[in-house]
Amino acid sequence: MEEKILEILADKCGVEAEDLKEDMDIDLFEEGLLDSFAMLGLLVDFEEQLGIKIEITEIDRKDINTPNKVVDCLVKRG
Amino acid sequence: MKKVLLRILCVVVVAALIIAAIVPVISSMMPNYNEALGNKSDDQKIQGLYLVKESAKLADNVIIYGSSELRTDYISTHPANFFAGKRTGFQVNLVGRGSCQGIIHAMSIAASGDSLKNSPVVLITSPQSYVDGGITPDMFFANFSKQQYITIMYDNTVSDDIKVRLSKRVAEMFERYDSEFGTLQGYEDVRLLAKMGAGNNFAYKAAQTVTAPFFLFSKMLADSRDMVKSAQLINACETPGINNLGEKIDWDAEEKAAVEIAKKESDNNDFGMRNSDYKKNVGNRLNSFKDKEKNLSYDNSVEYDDLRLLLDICKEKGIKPMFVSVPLHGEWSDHTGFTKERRQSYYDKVENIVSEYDVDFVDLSEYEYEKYFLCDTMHLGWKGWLKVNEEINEFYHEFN
Amino acid sequence: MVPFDSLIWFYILIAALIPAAVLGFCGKKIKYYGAAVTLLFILLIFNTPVKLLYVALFALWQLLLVKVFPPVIKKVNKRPILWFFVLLALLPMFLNKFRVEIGGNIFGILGLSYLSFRSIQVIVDSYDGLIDKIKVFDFLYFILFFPCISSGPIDRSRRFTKELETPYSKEEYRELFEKGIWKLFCGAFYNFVLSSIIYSYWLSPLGNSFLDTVSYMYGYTLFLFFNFAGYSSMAIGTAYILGVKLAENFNMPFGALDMKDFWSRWHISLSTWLRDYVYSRFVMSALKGKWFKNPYTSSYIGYVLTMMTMGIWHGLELHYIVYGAYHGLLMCVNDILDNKVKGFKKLKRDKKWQPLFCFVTIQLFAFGLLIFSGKLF
Repeated sequence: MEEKILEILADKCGVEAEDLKEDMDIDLFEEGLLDSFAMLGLLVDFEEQLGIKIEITEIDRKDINTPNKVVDCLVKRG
Repeated sequence: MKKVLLRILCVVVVAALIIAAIVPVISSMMPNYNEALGNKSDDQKIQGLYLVKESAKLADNVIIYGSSELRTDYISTHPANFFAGKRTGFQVNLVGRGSCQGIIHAMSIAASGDSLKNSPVVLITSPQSYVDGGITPDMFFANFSKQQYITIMYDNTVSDDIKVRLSKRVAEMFERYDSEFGTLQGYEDVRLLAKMGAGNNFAYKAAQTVTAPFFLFSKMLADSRDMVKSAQLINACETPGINNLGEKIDWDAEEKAAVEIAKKESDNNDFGMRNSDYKKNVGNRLNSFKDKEKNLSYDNSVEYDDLRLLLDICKEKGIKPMFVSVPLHGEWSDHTGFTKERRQSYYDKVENIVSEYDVDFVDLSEYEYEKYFLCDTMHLGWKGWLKVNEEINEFYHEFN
Repeated sequence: MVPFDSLIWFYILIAALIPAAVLGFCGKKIKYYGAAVTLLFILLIFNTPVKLLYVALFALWQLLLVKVFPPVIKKVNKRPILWFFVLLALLPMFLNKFRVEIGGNIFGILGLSYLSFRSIQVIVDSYDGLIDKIKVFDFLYFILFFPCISSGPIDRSRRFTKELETPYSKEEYRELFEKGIWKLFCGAFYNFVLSSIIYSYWLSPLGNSFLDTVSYMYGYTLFLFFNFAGYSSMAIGTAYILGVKLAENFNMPFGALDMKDFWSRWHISLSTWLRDYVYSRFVMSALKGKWFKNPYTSSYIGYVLTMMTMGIWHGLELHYIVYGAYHGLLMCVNDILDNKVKGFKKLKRDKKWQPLFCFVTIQLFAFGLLIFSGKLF
């Protein structure tokens, strides 16, 4: 599950999943890896590939701004 | 937290002390009132309180509440000219300008506290005020005084009845103004006060008590501003020579002299109107005025209610005024189609109301056709003012 | 009575806030007292029978919609139903914008566009399943909450109702209270001192020459900022004292590095509302449905759509629509520069270059506000 999430995330960030694992607490938005458009794409991918639906108004940027938080957030709902 | 509260408290106390000192400080710096201000009708007398109060302290000041006729000081017999230098022993004080109708004077007198109780007060009413709807809302607010209205609403000697009636009138004026001219800005506090005053139930009374500090504070600021403006007027006014002759007037001789002047000043028309006024208002368009007022009626006007309100206020304050009813111009009205019958109906209505009160009623309607009585289509002229002067003179000397 | 405008307003406001502060400092719930204060101010703001009737009709209409919507959507879970309800919620606003007369009067209440957006948020969130129960009292209090009734901030119901139920500790409330007082004062200073000075001494004397128009552009930008930010600050301050952490509306817009950044600092409650309920939803639908070959196209179209909505939300006048189109275009250009020009994003993060980005952004949004002001056409 976690692998799959990181793969999708890495794909959206334009990096390899291995790179993300190096620092799981990196701020994705501050580092320019994600922007609001990419975040929307991410939510769509999660829904389509993992079947986990997250509404945009449900979460805040600060809830998913690091790989760790993304994984936490999805695992909780998965 | 306690420190913060303490600091806030300090600021509030200091501010309160400064504010409380404003009125006494300004009062102590006020120049002596100058009676000569009585000869000019200034806005500050209409919308303020200070100048009329000061004038009323002087036993020999006659306070005349009127409207546009007060500005005709180019007429030789206008009271400011006629009684200049306290010729017969008193000074007139003119209060009013165009469109200062009953409700404006009602406010002014209601706000005067007990200062007019021992003063000779003259009220002049003009037929033109009695159009449908009475005073127009724009003219009402041009002459309305926040200071006076707040003073009335927080004056315990003014009865609830008067407060409610005045408030209803003010609230109604806001409504009319908003619908005719668009929302009137800058009167939020008065709007609220009028609403509370007109409501006259427990909730509104409670609300009025809760907001009392605010309004009394506003009143204090307005009083200060009134005093500052009044001081400027007093300082700018020249002190005239006062003869105080106590002269006995030969009224027949005065009339002869007035007619001589009138003849000279009105030789371009048959109506006995002042040349420049006739030229400006009528000129070669005499025919266009023919039957123009054939549908005019002064029978149904809010102005009658305002008149009643004005007289009720005088009664409550123990003021027994002299009340002058200015006539229409007979020949002119015949020309414009405002018939004798409808004119008479107006005079009767005024008389009916005024006769209910203890008032020195001066009905001038019998002078409709008297030449030179008016100086244009509506304002008192050479003979008209002279007649009024005679009545004022008598009124004053009987009053004291 | 116009909110936050006259001395009498502030007198009544302060008098009404004192008991709220006492409740807060005692650690008690302010909800019910706050609602009573809101009712009082509704009566003061909508001070004629017609205005009061309109606002009552509006509130009841929105209440009806949010109450009827959940059971309907439970039965027929189709997106068009949501659209239909959103349109119904917007109906009063359209009646006003198209100047439809009802009984000789044009329907209108102060802050109608703001109130409508608050209601739509409730409908969409309950479609998303984020709101399960809508209490009549809470909804009415939320939609009519007086500090932000006439010009925002556009608050969110979920945070609002949660705050009502959880009283603050004395310490928390003290902090909130102090911030609130500070915001009230700052807002009053912005609004009555700075914006008034700019208006009387800068904007009023200007004519119509080219140079005057340029001067007007900058003057108006500053005027609007101090006026609007001042108003928002007073509203937020008042809300704080009533125990509601109303959303922020401005955050140093003159420090924005690009237009995206600008919209995260200017009229924030509106831009985030539009982001959440227009842009994001459009883009996600487009991505899911694969409407466009290039995924970025959905973002561009989303921006134009969002900004046009913003323009029309302000009014149907031409200058508002052009204002929306102008910002839509700027957002697209912003996006293209960010994505297609290598090193552009990096340059933006470079401290040396930031003043230049800042300067250009100010010119861009000042020109936008010149369009907005209606002075050009």
